[in-house]
Amino acid sequence: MTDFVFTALRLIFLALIYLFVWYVAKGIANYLGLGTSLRTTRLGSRLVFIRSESQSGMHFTVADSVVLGKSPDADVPIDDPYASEFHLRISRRQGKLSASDLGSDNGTYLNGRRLRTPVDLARGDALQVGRTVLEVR
Amino acid sequence: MRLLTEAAWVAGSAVVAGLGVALVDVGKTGQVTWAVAVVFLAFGCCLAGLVAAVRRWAPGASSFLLWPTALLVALGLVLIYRINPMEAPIQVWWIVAGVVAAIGILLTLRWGVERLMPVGYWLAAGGLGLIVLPFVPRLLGGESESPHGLWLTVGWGNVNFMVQPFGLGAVLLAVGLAGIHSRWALESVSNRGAGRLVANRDLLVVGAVWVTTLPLLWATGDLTAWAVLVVLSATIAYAATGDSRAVWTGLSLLGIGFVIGLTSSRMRETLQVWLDPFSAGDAGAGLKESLLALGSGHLSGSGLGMGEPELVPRATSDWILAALGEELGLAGTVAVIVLYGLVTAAGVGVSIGSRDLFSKVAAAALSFLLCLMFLSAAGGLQRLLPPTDLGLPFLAYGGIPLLAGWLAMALLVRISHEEQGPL
Repeated sequence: MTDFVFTALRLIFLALIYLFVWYVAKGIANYLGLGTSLRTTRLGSRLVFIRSESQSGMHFTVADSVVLGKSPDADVPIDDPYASEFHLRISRRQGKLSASDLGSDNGTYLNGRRLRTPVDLARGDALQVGRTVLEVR
Repeated sequence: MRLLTEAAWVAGSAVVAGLGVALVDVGKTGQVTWAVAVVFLAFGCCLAGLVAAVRRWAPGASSFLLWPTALLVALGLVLIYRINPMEAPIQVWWIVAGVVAAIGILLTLRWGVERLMPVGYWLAAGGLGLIVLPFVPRLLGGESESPHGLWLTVGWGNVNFMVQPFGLGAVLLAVGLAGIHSRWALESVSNRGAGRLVANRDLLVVGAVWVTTLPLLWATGDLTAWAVLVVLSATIAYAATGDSRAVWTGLSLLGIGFVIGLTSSRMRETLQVWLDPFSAGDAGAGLKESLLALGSGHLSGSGLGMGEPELVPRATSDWILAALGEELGLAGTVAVIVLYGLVTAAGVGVSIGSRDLFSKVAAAALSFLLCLMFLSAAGGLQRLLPPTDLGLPFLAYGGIPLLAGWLAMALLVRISHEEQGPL
């Protein structure tokens, strides 16, 4: 085997290690909640999974109203053992997004505070469902 | 979706192990052997089993605790195969044993990690017993030195092998001390006015660990390993009580122990090797060869199978990071440092998110212990700290460091699961 091929394989091996390290670091940063951006006052239109075991990076846009939950029948299924079957509803009224908990067992948290009543959302808000965190963007 | 993600992580870790072994084969002989397939399958099956156990008994845990560990174990296996192929199959069996032990911990603690708190005394006593096991029998027999440092020779008939119980002892000690201090902190309200002995008993525990482990310093001269234990005990007492006197007590005991240790010929020899390894003769051979190996690594190393790490004594265990530095260079060494940093960060995250005091202190203690052990071993072989026999958890050959690492990780996974439990 030529030196060139061996050197290329060696560098691929190192690159593979760093790729692995990068994804682990990204996952742990999300787990620690370091990926949340600063809140701004602008209106948001879509929600992004920023901390999730399997859905990090996925996003969806709210046109009218969506229900999130563990159930496959929910509009947006959440892969989280601590989410309820139908956990919360996010709806759009006059351009503004609002979130309301649907009587979930473990509650929904907006920026660390438990949702008791429907609340308007702004860009940068973080919604926590079980161990999953979604950010309004 | 989660299943696919986890399958990708398992496959990725196994590919790193398999590709590493293939590169070693190509670098040494120019041909790829069956070892690549064996390592890929064995490593992949072990990880898949562990992931299945986590999903069954700790489904709420963050799987990101497992992946930096898995990559470190994979790199360690590749390096051991590179330096001494005879030890690689034994290491594979140790990986299997470590995974089985981790699954056993998840199964045993499925009703709650707080079950460990009442047995804190026993865990701490067992941990201290394992730590002093290699040399106390010799001291009691009238010998003043331990010829093999922290290593213990175990044998049945003609079969003898060496193990290092320090890592496992330190993990048990960390969990045991977390249990003792947390229990006392929870009882503290009812103990107000109970007297100075009760008020200062957390500090007395730091002193008890210091006294029990002082023979280690005397018999082995391993200042760094001994300091790890004293710093660990003081930190756990501080984490549980918030009493800064624990920190000052720990630092004072470190200083007093250092002065007492200077009367030991083994410790003076260790310091001499540290200050000038190139004129310390055979005693400094490990540190000298380690520095030369690291110095020849450059940016991306000489390549797996292309360096001469076998020149470093005990290169698969005590000095394995030097072998990695030589063959994977600065790039590989930095990756390993980052991986240990990620393990620590994830452990601290688990501690911060925990709801009960024992889980919080135990998670902090375990992640701090893993961090301390890495800093000690890495600092020792780069001459930043006095050289030590401490094996790197997950990476080094020897089984017990690997077992200790997996046990610590299983406990963190379990605590992480409980952190996300019903509110």
